[in-house]
Amino acid sequence: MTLEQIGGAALMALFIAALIETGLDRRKYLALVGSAPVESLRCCAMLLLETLNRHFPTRTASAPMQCQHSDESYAAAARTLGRVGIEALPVSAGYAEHRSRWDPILRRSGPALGLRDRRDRRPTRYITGPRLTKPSVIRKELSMETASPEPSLDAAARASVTIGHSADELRALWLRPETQSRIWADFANVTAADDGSAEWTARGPAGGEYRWRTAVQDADPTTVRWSSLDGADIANTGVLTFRPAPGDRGTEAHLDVRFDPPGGVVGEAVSKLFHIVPREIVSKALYRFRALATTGEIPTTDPQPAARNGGTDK
Amino acid sequence: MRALCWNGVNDLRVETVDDPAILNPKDVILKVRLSTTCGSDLHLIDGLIPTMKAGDVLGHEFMGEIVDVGREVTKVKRGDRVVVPSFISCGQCWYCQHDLYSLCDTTHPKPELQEPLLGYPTAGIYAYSHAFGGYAGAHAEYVRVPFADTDCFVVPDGVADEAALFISDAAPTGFMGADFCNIQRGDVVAVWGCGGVGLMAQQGAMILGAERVIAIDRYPERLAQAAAFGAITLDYTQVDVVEALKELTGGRGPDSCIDAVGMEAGGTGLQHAYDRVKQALYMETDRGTALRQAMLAVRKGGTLSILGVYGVMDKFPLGMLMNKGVTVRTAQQHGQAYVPRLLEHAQRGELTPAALATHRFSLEDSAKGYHMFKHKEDGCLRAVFAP
Repeated sequence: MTLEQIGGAALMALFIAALIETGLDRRKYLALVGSAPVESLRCCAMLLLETLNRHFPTRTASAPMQCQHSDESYAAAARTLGRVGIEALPVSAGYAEHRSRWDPILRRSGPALGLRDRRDRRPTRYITGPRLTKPSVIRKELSMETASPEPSLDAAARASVTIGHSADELRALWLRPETQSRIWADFANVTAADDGSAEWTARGPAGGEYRWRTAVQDADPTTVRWSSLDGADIANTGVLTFRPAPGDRGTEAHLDVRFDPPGGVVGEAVSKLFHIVPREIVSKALYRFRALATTGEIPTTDPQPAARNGGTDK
Repeated sequence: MRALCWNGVNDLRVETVDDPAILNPKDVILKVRLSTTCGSDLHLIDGLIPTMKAGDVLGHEFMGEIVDVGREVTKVKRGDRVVVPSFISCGQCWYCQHDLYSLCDTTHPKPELQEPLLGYPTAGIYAYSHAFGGYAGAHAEYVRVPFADTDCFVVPDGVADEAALFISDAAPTGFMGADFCNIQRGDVVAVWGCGGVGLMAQQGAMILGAERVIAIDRYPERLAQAAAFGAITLDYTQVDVVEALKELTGGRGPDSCIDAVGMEAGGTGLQHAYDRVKQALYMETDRGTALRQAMLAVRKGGTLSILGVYGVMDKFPLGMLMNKGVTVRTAQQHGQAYVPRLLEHAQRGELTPAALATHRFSLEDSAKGYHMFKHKEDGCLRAVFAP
């Protein structure tokens, strides 16, 4: 059941109650429904539901609930809420201001009410954390939901980029120990050695720490293949394949990583363990690899001395 | 240092924040001399873009003096007075090498936020939310500029700070819009919007040889500025724009139409931004009036050049474009491709962007400046801040 349906049902119940209360007298009914307290109540409910609906989108919600009320009715609703102790808003305020007041309350109260984003079955970062980073929330906010497929929750993730260098150059760059620690930095601390072995430490959101060692198994000129060794907290394998790009575009780098975490549905478990889906891990590593190969730098704002409280932009 | 920080919807404050530092070897630190407001900042201020964080420093249109350079910077040096386009471009990837600088493949620190929206991440931008890179902006005393050799352009003597400032964004964006029109002898170019970008598109079209430039807006002071630049002006609240354009072009229609309105103003004024917020996020009803008009007005086989920022418009009459054989060109500014040329035009007095600077504030008063700009008080075209 979506929030619209719940909201619709609640409003319907309100009107049925009003009908019964007025003894099915149309004139009395309209007077009651149109009266200030009922109108205010209705606006409060709409405002609340609409905001909830936007912050906790459900998969079946076809479109954001439509806002059909004037600023005046919102202001009236806000005044009513003010009377019951929720901070009231200026009477003539626009919707944007209303939203800015409501956001913190809903963000805090949402998880307590058990509201979760159903897509990945955990409270969104938008709700719980300081990072406003969840792509699905952005898509929803911009109403661009249909533009792209769901991020895959499958344990196997693939991505590819094209880089304007030869396969030899790219392979050498990939195998450099420093490259490994830099391109995976968002996901794990990697300490690589010249022989192709590496120590990985990935941290989960709740302080969990997962370690494994990998070794490069075989390395022909167009492929780098690695695999975790026995005793890994999360077994995984990866294959990087280089193919010539058409024309003078350079080389295509295709990266395929598979995780096999202990127990359960693997892909979902990976995204739970790390709060990042495998597809994101793989495509970001490739983005960084391309940046490094192209410019010698990896773009960063970390630390970005720009905001309050030290301003470190994690 | 002092900087203008976004703290929430419609909550801007000048605060003391940490100074920026060089993070990568091709970075420089710029001491900002001037920065300016942009209509697209209003998206952020109104809360249309969800990936802002409290404390983000605003400002993506700026110029200043280099005060510190990274170890791999070779072309610019300490003390240079430079202007910087708002998109951060490496100059080395395939896109940069093809003059598609705002599509740079390597400067987005958080590509995973943008890829789901667009399919592929764009270049990073200063101060345009974390989905666009999360770089700190320039309404501040100092700003970090990555890839300085590609992105910093030395301002020649004879071009004042106030002129150079707009060669950061308004001028290259407008000029690019005119360049998209592939202007030929005898061409008539119609430009919707007489804000900073629209006015620069009009001057750009003139520089590129348009026979006649028609400017469309509703604000008398903006239309007066367009007329001062030499455009024929149309107040869309007074005339039927499409009929008037037919009349002005002998029934042919403009050869090219440039939309410099987008969703930030919607052609009906920034003071309606609140309504636009509602429309954009909740109702998705008719917006883009200017764009529809431009589609209808452009001649058969003409060019539609879209500079206005659109985020969510998903209903528009595609058939009009298809049946009329219209060429559509659009982009965020590929500034690095145009800045050298624009500085020369400014030096020769052919481009006069300083006219956009109608109101000046100290950085400390920048929140007030944004308020004035947003509500178009006192005919404010652009508010300029000096730290």
